[in-house]
Amino acid sequence: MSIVVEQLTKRFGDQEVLTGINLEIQKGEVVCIIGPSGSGKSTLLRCLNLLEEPNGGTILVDNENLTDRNVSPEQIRKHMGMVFQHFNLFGNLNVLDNCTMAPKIVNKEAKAEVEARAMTLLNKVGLQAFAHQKVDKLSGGQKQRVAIARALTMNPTYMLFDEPTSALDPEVVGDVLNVMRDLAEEGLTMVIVTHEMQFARHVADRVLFMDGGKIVEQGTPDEIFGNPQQPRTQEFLRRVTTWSE
Amino acid sequence: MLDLFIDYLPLFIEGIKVTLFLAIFGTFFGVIIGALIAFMRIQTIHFTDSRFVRIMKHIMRSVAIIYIDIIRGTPMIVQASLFYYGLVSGFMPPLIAGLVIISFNTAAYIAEIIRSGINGLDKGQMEAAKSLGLTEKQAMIHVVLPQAMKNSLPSLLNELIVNVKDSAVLSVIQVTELFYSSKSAASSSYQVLESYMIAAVIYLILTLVLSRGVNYLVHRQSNGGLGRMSRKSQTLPVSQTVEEAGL
Ligand SMILES: Nc1ncnc2c1ncn2[C@@H]1O[C@H](COP(=O)(O)OP(=O)(O)OP(=O)(O)O)[C@@H](O)[C@H]1O
Ligand SMILES: [Mg+2]
Repeated sequence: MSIVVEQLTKRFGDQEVLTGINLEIQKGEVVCIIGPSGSGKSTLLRCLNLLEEPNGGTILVDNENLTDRNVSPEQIRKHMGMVFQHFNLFGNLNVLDNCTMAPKIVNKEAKAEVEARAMTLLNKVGLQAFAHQKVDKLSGGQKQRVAIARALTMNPTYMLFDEPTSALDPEVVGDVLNVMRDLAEEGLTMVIVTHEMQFARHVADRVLFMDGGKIVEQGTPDEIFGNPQQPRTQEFLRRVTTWSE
Repeated sequence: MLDLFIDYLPLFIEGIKVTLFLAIFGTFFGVIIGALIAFMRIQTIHFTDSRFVRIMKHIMRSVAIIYIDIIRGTPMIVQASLFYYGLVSGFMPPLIAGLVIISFNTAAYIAEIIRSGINGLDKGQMEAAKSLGLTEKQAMIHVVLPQAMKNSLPSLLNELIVNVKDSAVLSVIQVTELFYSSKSAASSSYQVLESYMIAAVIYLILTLVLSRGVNYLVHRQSNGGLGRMSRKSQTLPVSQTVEEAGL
């Protein structure tokens, strides 16, 4: 069980946003992707579940080639949850229904079974009491925890997070990161684009630094944060850390 | 005028009933047909689509565009005459033919209303649904359309008011709606001015009542929204409000 990306390229018009990405993610691994704005982090993540069309290269998920037209994207996506920066909770459904809709429709699971699982997950993210609330009544931190529970209700093998805390107020960022840390400790395979360097340092098994559509450097958190080799990585880390001090 | 109205009361009552019947059921079926056409109209080819799906989507979109153009580009009075006298006059009662015409006519306008409702919805809704494994069609039915319809509600109700007035042209195919009633009253009483004045007053009352009703509903809806927002902005972070405004 793994994700293997080879020579992935992606263009928007004339602009080459990903220029030959090679990457392997093993089951159980937690990979954090850091890098400056516009470096292609989101695009890479969105290629992994085919929200964006790769222009070249291959992506193998559990030995299925995503760039092969015979593989349906739905088949891949139901095993790969995604959490968005702006939550994207379904505005027409309450909290519980946000979680149960996809398993019911996509996997044709029985209502009672899905609801029980969703309630367990809502409990895990601390929002069981909000199950029957409308989503627009929730705070940002609560919304993002619902979004995580929603993705988990599909029992995904992989989870993609695209800056899950960037739209949140500082005081609730911790609530969301704690949930993610718990998931990491349980062995879920996660790919996380984040600007939370402390989180990446403590939770990631591996950190990728992206710039200009490339993975410039990768290694353990200690290697990347403690002893970065590439000048661009050093420069980026210097800039982000001077801010927080 | 009042005498005339009282003398011809059953005729006018019949006219009001038929007009409301056409407006209400015409708009109802128009919403159903319009949603279907809107769905066909917004088909976009996605890179994961097979060749067959690409062709189907292309056909659906073309059919929808042609339908919308033809219906909106020709007067309903012509559509009604063509359909009734040209095709179905022998076996379809005028009332049913009128209902068919008004439903399919309003559907073209409603399709465009729903389409803009869909386009106005945050793209993230569709992406989130897809990311969970839903197909585009499932995402449309369970996530996008319900919200787009809700956001389009004021415009859809406005279409109902338009149909109260526009159903008058169906008198051309002998549908006994309100304008037809006033024509009958005019020709048998010779009180032409009064007869049409009565029709005008009744139309005005119907549309005013309906539009005030719609305003009330819309106002209440947006008031609820504003109320929530202002309560929210006291307790929630700015990013929250910004996020909502973006939606
Ligand atoms: N749909 C699109 N159409 C055109 N250009 C796009 C599109 N999406 C992204 N881009 C461009 O691709 C480049 C990479 O964008 P991407 O969103 O992947 O960066 P990112 O690393 O996630 O940045 P950020 O930290 O700001 O989220 C940017 O220059 C962006 O403007
Ligand atoms: Mg991004």
